[in-house]
Amino acid sequence: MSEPLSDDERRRLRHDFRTPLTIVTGFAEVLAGEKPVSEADRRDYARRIQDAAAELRALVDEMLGA
Amino acid sequence: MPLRLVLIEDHQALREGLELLLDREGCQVVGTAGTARDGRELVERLDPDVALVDIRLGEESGIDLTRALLDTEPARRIVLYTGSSDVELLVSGLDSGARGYALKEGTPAELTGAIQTVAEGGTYVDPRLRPALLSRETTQRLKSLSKREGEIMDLLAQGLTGEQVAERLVLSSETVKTHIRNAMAKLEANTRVHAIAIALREGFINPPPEPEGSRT
Repeated sequence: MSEPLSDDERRRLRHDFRTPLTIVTGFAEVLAGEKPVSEADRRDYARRIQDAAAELRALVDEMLGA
Repeated sequence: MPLRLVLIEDHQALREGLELLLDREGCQVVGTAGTARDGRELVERLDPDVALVDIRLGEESGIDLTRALLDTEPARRIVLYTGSSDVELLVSGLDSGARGYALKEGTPAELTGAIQTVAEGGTYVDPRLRPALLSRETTQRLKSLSKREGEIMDLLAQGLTGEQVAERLVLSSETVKTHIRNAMAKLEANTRVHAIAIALREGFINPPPEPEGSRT
Protein backbone atom coordinates (compact mmCIF):
# COMPACT_ATOMS: atom_id res chain seq x y z
CA MET A 1 0.00 0.00 0.00
CA SER A 2 1.34 3.44 -0.87
CA GLU A 3 2.23 6.01 1.79
CA PRO A 4 -0.56 8.49 2.63
CA LEU A 5 0.07 11.98 1.29
CA SER A 6 1.30 14.67 3.64
CA ASP A 7 -0.70 17.91 4.00
CA ASP A 8 1.87 19.76 1.94
CA GLU A 9 1.79 17.14 -0.84
CA ARG A 10 -2.01 17.35 -0.90
CA ARG A 11 -1.86 21.16 -1.17
CA ARG A 12 0.66 20.93 -3.96
CA LEU A 13 -1.48 18.40 -5.85
CA ARG A 14 -4.57 20.57 -5.52
CA HIS A 15 -2.61 23.49 -6.88
CA ASP A 16 -1.15 21.43 -9.74
CA PHE A 17 -4.58 20.18 -10.80
CA ARG A 18 -6.51 23.39 -10.37
CA THR A 19 -4.08 25.56 -12.32
CA PRO A 20 -4.72 23.95 -15.74
CA LEU A 21 -8.37 23.41 -14.78
CA THR A 22 -8.68 27.18 -14.38
CA ILE A 23 -7.59 27.57 -18.00
CA VAL A 24 -10.12 24.97 -19.18
CA THR A 25 -13.06 26.44 -17.29
CA GLY A 26 -12.09 30.07 -17.93
CA PHE A 27 -11.86 29.78 -21.70
CA ALA A 28 -14.78 27.34 -21.95
CA GLU A 29 -16.87 29.93 -20.15
CA VAL A 30 -15.83 32.61 -22.63
CA LEU A 31 -16.66 30.32 -25.59
CA ALA A 32 -20.04 29.44 -24.09
CA GLY A 33 -20.80 33.04 -23.13
CA GLU A 34 -22.73 35.72 -24.92
CA LYS A 35 -19.92 38.16 -25.72
CA PRO A 36 -18.84 37.73 -29.35
CA VAL A 37 -15.51 35.93 -29.97
CA SER A 38 -13.63 36.33 -33.25
CA GLU A 39 -12.77 33.21 -35.26
CA ALA A 40 -9.04 33.65 -34.55
CA ASP A 41 -9.69 34.02 -30.82
CA ARG A 42 -12.03 31.01 -30.83
CA ARG A 43 -9.25 28.85 -32.32
CA ASP A 44 -6.69 30.29 -29.89
CA TYR A 45 -8.94 29.64 -26.87
CA ALA A 46 -9.74 26.09 -28.03
CA ARG A 47 -5.99 25.40 -28.40
CA ARG A 48 -5.36 26.66 -24.86
CA ILE A 49 -8.11 24.35 -23.55
CA GLN A 50 -6.55 21.41 -25.44
CA ASP A 51 -3.09 22.16 -24.01
CA ALA A 52 -4.43 22.45 -20.47
CA ALA A 53 -6.41 19.21 -20.91
CA ALA A 54 -3.23 17.47 -22.08
CA GLU A 55 -1.43 18.74 -18.97
CA LEU A 56 -4.25 17.41 -16.80
CA ARG A 57 -4.11 14.04 -18.55
CA ALA A 58 -0.35 13.84 -17.90
CA LEU A 59 -0.94 14.65 -14.22
CA VAL A 60 -3.61 11.95 -13.92
CA ASP A 61 -1.36 9.42 -15.66
CA GLU A 62 1.49 10.32 -13.34
CA MET A 63 -0.78 9.97 -10.29
CA LEU A 64 -2.10 6.60 -11.39
CA GLY A 65 1.30 5.39 -12.53
CA ALA A 66 0.00 4.81 -16.06
CA MET B 1 -9.91 54.49 -17.29
CA PRO B 2 -9.26 50.74 -17.15
CA LEU B 3 -7.90 49.26 -13.98
CA ARG B 4 -4.10 48.67 -14.10
CA LEU B 5 -3.12 45.21 -12.96
CA VAL B 6 0.13 43.33 -12.42
CA LEU B 7 -0.22 39.57 -12.60
CA ILE B 8 2.23 37.28 -10.79
CA GLU B 9 1.70 33.60 -11.61
CA ASP B 10 4.37 30.95 -12.13
CA HIS B 11 2.38 28.75 -14.53
CA GLN B 12 3.10 30.27 -17.92
CA ALA B 13 -0.02 29.03 -19.70
CA LEU B 14 -2.29 30.30 -16.92
CA ARG B 15 -0.42 33.60 -16.79
CA GLU B 16 -0.98 34.14 -20.51
CA GLY B 17 -4.54 32.86 -20.31
CA LEU B 18 -5.44 35.15 -17.41
CA GLU B 19 -3.98 38.10 -19.26
CA LEU B 20 -6.38 37.42 -22.13
CA LEU B 21 -9.37 36.63 -19.93
CA LEU B 22 -8.92 39.68 -17.68
CA ASP B 23 -8.36 41.90 -20.68
CA ARG B 24 -11.73 40.72 -22.05
CA GLU B 25 -13.28 41.71 -18.72
CA GLY B 26 -11.86 45.25 -18.96
CA CYS B 27 -8.67 45.04 -16.86
CA GLN B 28 -5.44 46.41 -18.31
CA VAL B 29 -2.67 43.95 -17.47
CA VAL B 30 0.34 46.28 -17.40
CA GLY B 31 2.87 43.63 -16.47
CA THR B 32 3.25 39.93 -15.74
CA ALA B 33 5.89 37.96 -13.85
CA GLY B 34 6.53 34.28 -13.13
CA THR B 35 8.72 34.61 -10.04
CA ALA B 36 8.51 36.44 -6.72
CA ARG B 37 11.65 38.43 -7.49
CA ASP B 38 10.46 39.62 -10.91
CA GLY B 39 7.00 40.28 -9.49
CA ARG B 40 8.34 42.45 -6.70
CA GLU B 41 10.45 44.48 -9.12
CA LEU B 42 7.47 44.91 -11.45
CA VAL B 43 5.02 46.02 -8.75
CA GLU B 44 7.51 48.49 -7.29
CA ARG B 45 8.28 49.92 -10.73
CA LEU B 46 4.77 50.03 -12.22
CA ASP B 47 2.75 50.77 -9.06
CA PRO B 48 -0.44 49.11 -10.38
CA ASP B 49 -3.94 49.63 -8.95
CA VAL B 50 -3.93 45.97 -7.91
CA ALA B 51 -1.43 43.09 -7.94
CA LEU B 52 -2.87 39.60 -8.40
CA VAL B 53 -0.46 37.16 -6.74
CA ASP B 54 -0.55 33.37 -6.98
CA ILE B 55 -0.06 31.88 -3.54
CA ARG B 56 2.39 29.29 -4.84
CA LEU B 57 5.13 30.60 -7.10
CA GLY B 58 7.07 27.40 -7.73
CA GLU B 59 9.18 26.90 -4.64
CA GLU B 60 8.52 30.48 -3.55
CA SER B 61 5.55 31.81 -1.61
CA GLY B 62 3.13 34.44 -2.83
CA ILE B 63 2.29 35.13 0.83
CA ASP B 64 5.93 36.03 1.57
CA LEU B 65 5.95 38.23 -1.53
CA THR B 66 2.78 39.99 -0.31
CA ARG B 67 4.40 40.66 3.08
CA ALA B 68 7.52 42.05 1.40
CA LEU B 69 5.47 44.32 -0.88
CA LEU B 70 3.38 45.62 2.02
CA ASP B 71 6.46 46.17 4.20
CA THR B 72 7.68 48.79 1.77
CA GLU B 73 4.25 50.21 0.87
CA PRO B 74 1.38 49.26 3.21
CA ALA B 75 -1.26 50.88 0.96
CA ARG B 76 -0.65 48.44 -1.89
CA ARG B 77 -3.70 46.50 -2.98
CA ILE B 78 -3.01 42.81 -3.36
CA VAL B 79 -5.35 39.95 -4.22
CA LEU B 80 -4.03 36.49 -3.44
CA TYR B 81 -5.05 33.87 -5.98
CA THR B 82 -5.07 30.20 -5.12
CA GLY B 83 -6.27 26.78 -6.18
CA SER B 84 -6.45 25.67 -2.57
CA SER B 85 -9.25 26.22 -0.09
CA ASP B 86 -6.95 24.97 2.65
CA VAL B 87 -7.82 26.92 5.78
CA GLU B 88 -4.28 27.19 7.16
CA LEU B 89 -3.16 28.75 3.92
CA LEU B 90 -6.18 31.04 3.96
CA VAL B 91 -5.50 32.32 7.47
CA SER B 92 -1.84 32.80 6.67
CA GLY B 93 -2.81 34.63 3.47
CA LEU B 94 -5.17 36.94 5.33
CA ASP B 95 -2.53 37.59 7.99
CA SER B 96 -0.15 38.79 5.28
CA GLY B 97 -2.28 41.91 4.76
CA ALA B 98 -3.65 41.01 1.31
CA ARG B 99 -7.01 42.73 0.71
CA GLY B 100 -8.46 39.97 -1.39
CA TYR B 101 -8.47 36.19 -1.49
CA ALA B 102 -9.78 34.63 -4.71
CA LEU B 103 -10.03 30.98 -5.71
CA LYS B 104 -8.91 29.63 -9.07
CA GLU B 105 -12.22 27.79 -9.42
CA GLY B 106 -14.03 31.12 -9.69
CA THR B 107 -15.11 32.45 -13.09
CA PRO B 108 -13.16 35.20 -14.91
CA ALA B 109 -16.05 37.58 -14.13
CA GLU B 110 -15.84 36.75 -10.41
CA LEU B 111 -12.09 37.30 -10.44
CA THR B 112 -12.55 40.64 -12.16
CA GLY B 113 -15.19 41.54 -9.56
CA ALA B 114 -12.72 40.69 -6.77
CA ILE B 115 -10.00 42.81 -8.38
CA GLN B 116 -12.42 45.69 -8.96
CA THR B 117 -13.65 45.57 -5.35
CA VAL B 118 -10.09 45.71 -4.01
CA ALA B 119 -9.10 48.45 -6.48
CA GLU B 120 -11.97 50.57 -5.13
CA GLY B 121 -10.69 50.16 -1.58
CA GLY B 122 -12.91 47.23 -0.58
CA THR B 123 -12.02 43.73 0.54
CA TYR B 124 -12.88 40.34 -0.92
CA VAL B 125 -12.93 36.76 0.33
CA ASP B 126 -14.27 34.10 -2.06
CA PRO B 127 -17.68 32.98 -0.74
CA ARG B 128 -16.72 29.33 -1.36
CA LEU B 129 -14.31 29.62 1.55
CA ARG B 130 -17.11 29.78 4.11
CA PRO B 131 -17.15 25.99 4.78
CA ALA B 132 -13.39 26.04 5.29
CA LEU B 133 -13.67 28.99 7.63
CA LEU B 134 -16.49 27.38 9.56
CA SER B 135 -14.64 24.10 9.94
CA ARG B 136 -11.53 25.68 11.39
CA GLU B 137 -10.91 24.54 14.92
CA THR B 138 -10.54 27.44 17.25
CA THR B 139 -9.47 27.61 20.82
CA GLN B 140 -9.84 31.34 21.06
CA ARG B 141 -12.77 32.77 22.95
CA LEU B 142 -13.87 35.77 20.99
CA LYS B 143 -16.02 38.59 22.27
CA SER B 144 -19.20 39.21 20.31
CA LEU B 145 -19.46 42.21 18.07
CA SER B 146 -21.98 44.93 18.87
CA LYS B 147 -24.98 45.20 16.55
CA ARG B 148 -23.44 48.21 14.77
CA GLU B 149 -20.02 46.55 14.43
CA GLY B 150 -21.66 43.42 12.98
CA GLU B 151 -23.65 45.55 10.55
CA ILE B 152 -20.50 47.32 9.36
CA MET B 153 -18.51 44.07 9.01
CA ASP B 154 -21.44 42.62 7.05
CA LEU B 155 -21.29 45.49 4.55
CA LEU B 156 -17.48 45.25 4.29
CA ALA B 157 -17.86 41.52 3.57
CA GLN B 158 -20.14 42.45 0.66
CA GLY B 159 -17.28 44.48 -0.80
CA LEU B 160 -18.27 48.00 0.26
CA THR B 161 -15.51 50.46 1.16
CA GLY B 162 -15.45 52.29 4.49
CA GLU B 163 -16.74 55.42 2.73
CA GLN B 164 -19.62 53.51 1.14
CA VAL B 165 -20.51 51.93 4.48
CA ALA B 166 -20.60 55.40 6.07
CA GLU B 167 -22.88 56.63 3.31
CA ARG B 168 -25.18 53.59 3.54
CA LEU B 169 -25.55 53.81 7.33
CA VAL B 170 -25.62 57.62 7.42
CA LEU B 171 -22.59 57.78 9.70
CA SER B 172 -19.39 59.80 9.48
CA SER B 173 -16.32 58.09 8.02
CA GLU B 174 -14.54 58.55 11.35
CA THR B 175 -17.31 56.76 13.23
CA VAL B 176 -17.17 53.87 10.78
CA LYS B 177 -13.38 53.71 11.14
CA THR B 178 -13.72 53.60 14.92
CA HIS B 179 -16.25 50.74 14.73
CA ILE B 180 -13.94 48.84 12.35
CA ARG B 181 -10.96 49.39 14.67
CA ASN B 182 -13.00 48.14 17.63
CA ALA B 183 -14.27 45.11 15.71
CA MET B 184 -10.73 44.28 14.59
CA ALA B 185 -9.48 44.52 18.18
CA LYS B 186 -12.29 42.25 19.44
CA LEU B 187 -11.61 39.74 16.70
CA GLU B 188 -7.85 39.99 17.20
CA ALA B 189 -7.47 40.65 13.49
CA ASN B 190 -4.54 42.37 11.80
CA THR B 191 -6.41 43.58 8.73
CA ARG B 192 -9.99 44.24 7.64
CA VAL B 193 -10.03 41.13 5.46
CA HIS B 194 -8.80 39.05 8.35
CA ALA B 195 -11.52 40.52 10.57
CA ILE B 196 -14.19 39.67 7.97
CA ALA B 197 -12.87 36.11 7.73
CA ILE B 198 -13.03 35.66 11.51
CA ALA B 199 -16.46 37.29 11.75
CA LEU B 200 -17.77 34.92 9.04
CA ARG B 201 -16.18 31.92 10.68
CA GLU B 202 -17.65 32.76 14.06
CA GLY B 203 -21.07 33.40 12.56
CA PHE B 204 -21.14 37.07 13.66
CA ILE B 205 -22.04 38.05 10.11
CA ASN B 206 -23.62 36.33 7.14
CA PRO B 207 -21.61 35.32 4.08
CA PRO B 208 -22.18 37.35 0.91
CA PRO B 209 -24.63 35.65 -1.48
CA GLU B 210 -23.14 32.84 -3.60
CA PRO B 211 -22.40 33.91 -7.17
CA GLU B 212 -24.90 32.52 -9.65
CA GLY B 213 -23.98 29.07 -10.90
CA SER B 214 -21.13 28.53 -8.41
CA ARG B 215 -20.56 25.29 -6.59
CA THR B 216 -20.70 25.08 -2.82
